[in-house]
Amino acid sequence: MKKVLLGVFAATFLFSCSNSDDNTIDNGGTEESFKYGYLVVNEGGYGHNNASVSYISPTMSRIHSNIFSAKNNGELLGDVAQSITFDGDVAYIVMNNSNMIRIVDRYTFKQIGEITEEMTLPRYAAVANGKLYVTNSGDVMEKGDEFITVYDLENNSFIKRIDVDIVAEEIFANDNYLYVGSDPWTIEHKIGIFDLSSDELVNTITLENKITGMLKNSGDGIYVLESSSEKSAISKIDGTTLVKNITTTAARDAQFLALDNGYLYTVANGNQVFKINATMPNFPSNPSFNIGISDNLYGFNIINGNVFVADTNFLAGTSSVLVYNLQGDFVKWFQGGVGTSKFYKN
Amino acid sequence: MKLIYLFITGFCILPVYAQDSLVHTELNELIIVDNRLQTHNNSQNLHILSDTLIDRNTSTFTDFLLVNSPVYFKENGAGMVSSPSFRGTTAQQTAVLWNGIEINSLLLGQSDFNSLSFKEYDHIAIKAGGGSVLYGSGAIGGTIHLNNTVRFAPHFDQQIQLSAGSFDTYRANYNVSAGSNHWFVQANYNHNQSQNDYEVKNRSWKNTNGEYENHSLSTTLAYRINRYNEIQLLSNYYQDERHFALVSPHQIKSKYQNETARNLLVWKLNNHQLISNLRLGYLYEKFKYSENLNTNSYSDGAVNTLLAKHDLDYKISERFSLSSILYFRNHRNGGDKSSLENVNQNVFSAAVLGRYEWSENTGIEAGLKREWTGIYDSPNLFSAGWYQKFSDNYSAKINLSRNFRAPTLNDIYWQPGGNKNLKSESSYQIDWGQTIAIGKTTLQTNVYWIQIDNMIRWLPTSGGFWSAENTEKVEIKGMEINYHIPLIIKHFPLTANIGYTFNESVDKKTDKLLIYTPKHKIFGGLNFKFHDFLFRLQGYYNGKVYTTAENNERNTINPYGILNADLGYAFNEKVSLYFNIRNLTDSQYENVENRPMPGRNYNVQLIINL
Repeated sequence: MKKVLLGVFAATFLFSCSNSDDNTIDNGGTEESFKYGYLVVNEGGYGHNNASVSYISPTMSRIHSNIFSAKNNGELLGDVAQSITFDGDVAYIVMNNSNMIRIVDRYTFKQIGEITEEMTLPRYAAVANGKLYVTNSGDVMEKGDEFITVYDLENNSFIKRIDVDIVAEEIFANDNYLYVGSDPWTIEHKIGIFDLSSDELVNTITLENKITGMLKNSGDGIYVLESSSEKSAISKIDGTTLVKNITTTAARDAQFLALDNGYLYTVANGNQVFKINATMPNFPSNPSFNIGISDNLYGFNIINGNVFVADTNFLAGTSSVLVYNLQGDFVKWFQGGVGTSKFYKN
Repeated sequence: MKLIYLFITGFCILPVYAQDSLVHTELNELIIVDNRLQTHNNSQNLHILSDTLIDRNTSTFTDFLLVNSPVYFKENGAGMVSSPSFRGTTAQQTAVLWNGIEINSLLLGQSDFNSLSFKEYDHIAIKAGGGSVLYGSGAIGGTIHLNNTVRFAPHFDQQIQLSAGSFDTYRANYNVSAGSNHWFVQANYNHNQSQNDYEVKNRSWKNTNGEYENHSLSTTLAYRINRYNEIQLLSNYYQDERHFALVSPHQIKSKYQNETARNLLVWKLNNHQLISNLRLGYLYEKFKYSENLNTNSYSDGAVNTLLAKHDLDYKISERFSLSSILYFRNHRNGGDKSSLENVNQNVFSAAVLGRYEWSENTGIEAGLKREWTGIYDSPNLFSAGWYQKFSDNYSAKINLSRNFRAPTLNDIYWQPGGNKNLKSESSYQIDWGQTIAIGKTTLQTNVYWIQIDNMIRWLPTSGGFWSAENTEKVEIKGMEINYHIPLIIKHFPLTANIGYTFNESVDKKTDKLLIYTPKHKIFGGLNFKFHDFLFRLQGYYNGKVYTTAENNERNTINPYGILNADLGYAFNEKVSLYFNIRNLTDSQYENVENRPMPGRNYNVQLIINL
């Protein structure tokens, strides 16, 4: 991802990069509550300050674009929306190149606070024990200076910084532990496990290939996807140990990990979706279905049986959101924003 | 009268602002260092910006050209990266030349006009249209020439310019020039600095981290050995530090530093039948990007260029002359945190040109050129033109050319993503110009068609990085109109000038307009002299541009018009004072998405000639 950003950054110097404000069919605003539907993160173009969040209604009848601006007097969301972390009625939107976290009411999308202290290019966040843990990239051009910052959610104040020996990317809190995965572009592929009572590192699990997906199943464990051009594997971590690992050479370059209704899903070999029972008896050797795109695939998730796919062409401008069913049949198209990257259930 | 005279010469130089000069210069003593500019551009238009006009300008080079030329700028906020383009092309298809030597960044392929000083030049020429046979890579949309002049006449002149303006902006320029019939020495020091912290309407925070500071020192040394031989040594050193304005208030602050050095040793032989011009040069460019001001991390890059260029112009008869240009360059890169692999690139080019004049009013010119380098492939280039003055009131010219833009060092050697198999962008252009004199006014029009193949763009790859590829094919249809109106109202001169450009720059694959290429640009000015007062109103209008390749109507930069006003007063021959208001109507506008520009702002400038 860093390389991608670097590339994009270089490209903006090299020629006129093509990005712009979010837009779509419906400019938000009409909906009073964004409950029950789906949130779409459009990360925007690096340096263009044009990130946005769109909302797809529960019946998938329509998409509302740029709901943050619509609900906050036209204020721009910021530059590169990296991820959203939810905690009850609150959503933490991690704004990477704006160097801040916007705290919004999850259902009205009105801003209720922001966190900016001691942050350097934040990536992902996790909530535990009234605290917010945020992974930071540090300097874009340096590896090894990544760190975690911790904030008190009572007053959104900075508590401390935890230096880590991991090129920290995704972060999850589950039960008593904090799990920090490494960036796919780094050389060492590691999961750091911290004890939440002391914030001390208690174990590091080293994986063979780059980590291309991670998710938490509350009360169950952490699932990690890793892949190379030869094989893909899924591991399950419970507590401080890796409890299970399934591998296949049938799925190569697997990326994106989704969990829906007891099954894990990942996209491999370009556009093939593999469906894996979450109890992980084995990694199937055949895909369950295909999706229509592979080149511009930039976001993927499965929520309530709906397969959300981001067809993200940074050069063209805005992205497309494609929805398929679990048989791989195309269901619906929505106009995304710039750089559509993530889908969340709201 | 002057105008008509210039017409007869067939050069069609429009001395648009010459008549309002408060400072008088004797043009016949001046020698422009780049002599090609005058001898081989008869079938295209040249627009000269005079030294008085340059002196009086109190703003950036970008602002100066916005109101004085058809050039369109894509400026990332005031003072930030500003890239010029002509005729619906891109900044990389616009060549900038310093005394006849191309100076676009070898890394980026373009010039940033907010990182380029201009007060040291006494002759800036704008030439729209292709010119690769003469000016090499990038001369597709047009060329911008920064020239020093040499003056062999006994004199000792000094000039001081001091200016102060809104947002803590200060500028100073000192120029000294001395000469005899054999010697000429000139030195110029220029300094600019600005806090650049302008307010933005409907935004709670000011422009932040936009400060900049730059200096330049340039010197010209010339010696006329005898009637036929002359030696010149030209040097220019420029250094700047510019912070990058934030687009969002808590962003990490970064800054960018540029350093360039240009040195040229010229030996000119002119015995009226043969003009030989040998130039040896050393150019240096360096950048340093500090991505986080809280840490010491940075990336950088540098390129050293050694060059030798020989121009020969041989008059076979009064009417017929032949020329050749041989040009060798060597580029080596540097920088300790560069993303480029080691580069040692040799480029050689050769051109032959011919010119035949039936009379002073009619002639043809043609040229052929080829560039060789071990790395990229360059097309065979040509240009051919015809010009004719049919009457005192009407002249026409036509020019056909094939031009190119070479891949930059970044395009070829960037890691990862540089592509050693890139071809040069190649372009055909037809340009038809007419000049019509209506009374004392002059109407100049150009209609053109440009096709560009193998456009180089950076595209995402499956490996997660971006890579340079030859992709698009672009077709441009456009026209330029310039109308010049000199009037005398009760003995007081009033001149008006208005220019309009229309460009339709279409990506042939998608049938969409290229991003950041406005269909319409209007620029113009009104000058009025009343006793010792000078009043000037200048402005420009940029039409709508699309910011996405898909041309989504919601992703556009809205059209806007900007007006600037100046009031000047000459206390005497030596001292004059100018008061300048920019963005008179206080309009809130953006030139690049989410990069707001300043509202109304003020400047005073004092010019002292000693």
